[in-house]
Amino acid sequence: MRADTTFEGDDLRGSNPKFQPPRYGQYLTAVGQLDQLAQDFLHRRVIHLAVRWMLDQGISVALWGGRHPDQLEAVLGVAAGRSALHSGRESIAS
Amino acid sequence: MQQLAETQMHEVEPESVDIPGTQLRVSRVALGTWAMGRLDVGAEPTSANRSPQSGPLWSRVINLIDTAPVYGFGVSEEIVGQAVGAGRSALTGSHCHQSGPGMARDGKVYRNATRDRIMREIDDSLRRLRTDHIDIYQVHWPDPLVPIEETAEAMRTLYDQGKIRAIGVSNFSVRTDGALPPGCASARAAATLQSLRASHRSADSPLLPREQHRDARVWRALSRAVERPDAGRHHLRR
Repeated sequence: MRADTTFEGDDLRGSNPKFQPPRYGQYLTAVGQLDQLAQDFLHRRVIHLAVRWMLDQGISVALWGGRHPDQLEAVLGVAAGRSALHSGRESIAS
Repeated sequence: MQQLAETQMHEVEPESVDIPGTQLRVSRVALGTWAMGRLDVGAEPTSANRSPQSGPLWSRVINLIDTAPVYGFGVSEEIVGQAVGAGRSALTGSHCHQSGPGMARDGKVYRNATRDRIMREIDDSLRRLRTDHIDIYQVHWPDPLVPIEETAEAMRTLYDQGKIRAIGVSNFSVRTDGALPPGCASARAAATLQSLRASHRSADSPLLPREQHRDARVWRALSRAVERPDAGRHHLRR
């Protein structure tokens, strides 16, 4: 998704406040900054940071949704990068 | 990402968790299939993206799939069945986690947790999933018009028939869950699986205990960036 992405037809995002100005742009900015953080400190992308964070809240299972097969590829980085994400996060916090 | 997958595949050791009261040990990342069956959440589906051709790849780290008859009114189940059903044994320990009965079509979605609906819907789901059983079968939503005892007894029947291996609920409050009769011994077990929509939570949510300062720092950065786009940058770069 980009700032100029339009959600047409029966796309639910077209009426979801989270995808309307000004919040949509704010979310995109936040995600971009977190992605940079994840790359700089953890050598992973924001999607890995997000799932790692969610699992560490104590829930049992996180659902990974996708519409296209290639949206599932990044899931491998969560498992492969578990130690990196944990140790990297320690360094951020310290 | 492809490169990451190839170079680190040998290191992949997916996290897993036991579901209390069952014999299931499932991956902590599960596949959600809502979007696969929906026409209203994104691009028009094509033959390419309606078939999870990357199955062998993601199945290295995921052995739990969440689907429901209401997801595309059967389309998601058909996709899952196509990808996993007949070859379930080939995907090591693959489990279907079905947010099951209680939804119906007729152009719109409504709750229906009657015994008749459940008994009919299970066979439709098994056919679309191309399997003879579902590992965890959840009542998708509470139906205030149907006594929970009726719903529970129907689920128990499916359990006794071997069509489902565990009973659970979804979108129920803890109090409602506790109202399930003793006959549904495994009901609470599967209810530990809950999806989380972090974007609907605030920074003050119980989701974020105060003692978890390390996570809190990342969370605060996100919150500030959302509230004031310029503030987040400063915080992250500090």
